Amino acid sequence: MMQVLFYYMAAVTVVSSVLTVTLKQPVYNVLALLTMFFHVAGLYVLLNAEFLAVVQIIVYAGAILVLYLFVLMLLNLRSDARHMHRQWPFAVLILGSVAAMLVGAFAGGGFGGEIGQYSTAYIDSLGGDTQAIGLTLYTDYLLPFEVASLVLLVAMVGAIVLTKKGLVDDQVED
Amino acid sequence: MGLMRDIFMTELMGGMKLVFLQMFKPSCTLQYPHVKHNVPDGYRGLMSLLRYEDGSERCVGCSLCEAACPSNCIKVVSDEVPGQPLVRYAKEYYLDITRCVFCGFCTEACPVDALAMTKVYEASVYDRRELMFDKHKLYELGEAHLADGKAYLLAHNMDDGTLNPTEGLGDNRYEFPPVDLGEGVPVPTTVGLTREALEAEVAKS
Amino acid sequence: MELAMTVGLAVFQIAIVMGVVLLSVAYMTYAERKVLSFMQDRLGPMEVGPYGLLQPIADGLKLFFKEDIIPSSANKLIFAIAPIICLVPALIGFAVMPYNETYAAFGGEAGVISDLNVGLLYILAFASVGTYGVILAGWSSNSKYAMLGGLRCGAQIISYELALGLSIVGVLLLSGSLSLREITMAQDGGFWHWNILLQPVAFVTYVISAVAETNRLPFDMPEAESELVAGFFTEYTGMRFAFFFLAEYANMILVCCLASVLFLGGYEAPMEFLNFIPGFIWLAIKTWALLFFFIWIRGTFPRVRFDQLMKFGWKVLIPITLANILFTALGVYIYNN
Repeated sequence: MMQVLFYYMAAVTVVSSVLTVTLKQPVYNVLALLTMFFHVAGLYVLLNAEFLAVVQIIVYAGAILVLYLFVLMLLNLRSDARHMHRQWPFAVLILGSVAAMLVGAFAGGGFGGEIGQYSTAYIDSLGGDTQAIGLTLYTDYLLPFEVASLVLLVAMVGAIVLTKKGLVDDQVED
Repeated sequence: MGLMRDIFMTELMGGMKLVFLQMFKPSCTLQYPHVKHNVPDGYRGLMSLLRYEDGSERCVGCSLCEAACPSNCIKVVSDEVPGQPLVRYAKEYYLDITRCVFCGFCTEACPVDALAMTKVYEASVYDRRELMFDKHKLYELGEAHLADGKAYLLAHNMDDGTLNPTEGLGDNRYEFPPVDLGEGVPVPTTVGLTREALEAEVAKS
Repeated sequence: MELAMTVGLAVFQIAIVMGVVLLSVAYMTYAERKVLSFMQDRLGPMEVGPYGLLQPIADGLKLFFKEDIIPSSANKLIFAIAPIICLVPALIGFAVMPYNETYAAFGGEAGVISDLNVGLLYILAFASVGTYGVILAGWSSNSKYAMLGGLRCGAQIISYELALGLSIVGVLLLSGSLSLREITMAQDGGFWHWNILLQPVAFVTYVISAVAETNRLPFDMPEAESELVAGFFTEYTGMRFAFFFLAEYANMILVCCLASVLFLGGYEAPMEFLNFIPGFIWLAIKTWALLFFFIWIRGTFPRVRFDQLMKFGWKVLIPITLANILFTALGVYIYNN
């Protein structure tokens, strides 16, 4: 049962990611990306990570992609010849090397790296994945978390400064 | 104080309280097709033609209504009564009610009080042609709503409300009861006189 | 066999909850028309059935048999799926709504279709997905009114979802769980345990942002009929229109249900001696009281301007909710130590 669900989710994820970059109508791309987010969330659910799954939908589908769609609607992009422009050799180079790495990794016995202590049973013993993520995030990784929030704060202040033109000009004049 | 008012939203709450209390006031809706309005006597509904009490037609085919009609919706075809020379009647009388503006000028113009407006205001039909009233339909309306017609003529001061042929037509018209203007003010002698007396009075002076 | 029992029970529960929700949606339209009429000294629907009680059914039949028109320049695929994207998230949220303490009569344990441990986030996640339906409907109709309505709706929902989510955080801090069932159980034992007494500010901000989130008056900018005809569903007819209608009212019932679970104790009775009344009736009473409040403010307040709406959301509601989270966190920390 789990296997069937996994293969369904994985297949749809792959297909919709390919569609995201190949479909010509921009709104269709966004819809394909939305489908992909949902199926990735499904993969998280299969891994007993409900919190991650829901946060994936809230953050990516609920906030970021809506903004994409918003901008797309305002720009009213035509399905012009955006494909196969001059940079395609670079794309082939980069993607080809990534593909070669993946194939090599699979050939070398998959990603059989070291598995950490966070097995499904261990997470359940912590009281669920929400608690597990919270404990890890606010103890072991507190500093990176704070740094990330600081970066976001800087970005927010930067956005405000960029949109408020008068703010900067006044200071220059003073 | 202004801050507290903003925090507790007292103004918004006042509005909400008002709306809530309004819920318990009785509704002013009339359940129209089941309950109908009480139409006043002066109401100008569908036009109708009236008959004398002996059943003969009042209309003499003078076409004054046609001339008075601002929307040109009346068409009178006048003719002599067979066998009675000099006595005329309306051979045909057409009223396009789709064009009628219900102004009542035709009833004012009619010298014989043959026209009156009824209180019928539900004129919808499925076939538009039914709204082209002919003489037959207009007399039917007049017979069905005779009381309305009488009340209309009385309310608009064109008749005494009886439509009695023996008393003479239009006797009530433009005649107003004498008004007591108070001490020392002489009542004009012309008030309350009949037309003949008035003419005699004018001739005297 | 056990699997079949579980699946059968789940399907049975889903059928009952969906039936109740859809019936509530139908009678919510009736209640709204009636209550608004009384507030405006009118009578409301009176013709179909006694006191117009069958009016929602007549309306539903009418919409069902109406012609389905797709504008010739619309994007047909997206035009067709937008109402579904809108409706499904509105209905799917009821899966985690606890409606009763148990349902012992059917051998179940928890009075909820699925006691998800992230139930609250699940509802928020799917509520945000509903925005896609509205935006795509506005875009695919190829009409300026629909487009403007969709854009407004997108901007409004993104802004007010923040305030909505942040006002819930205080409750989460108090109950320490994301499961709606556990949040309800934490408020057991009388109305003085309800979260509304500990989180009055959060309740007010939640209700305000819920009104904005469901595009209700006075925040109904996406479908402001006096300026945008009908907003994002201007071009929709028949059943597809009905889907949007259902989604709007189902969303209203969902946010009211959520408010009664989070702040008003859900299925818990207000006093111990009232426990003989089943829990789902208490939940229904609380939800309908909030729904009445929604209608009430619709009858009272005029529509705000769009810039006022945005200013209020970002400059008033979000700072208030952030301050509320700060104070609640401090309070919880001090109380626990």
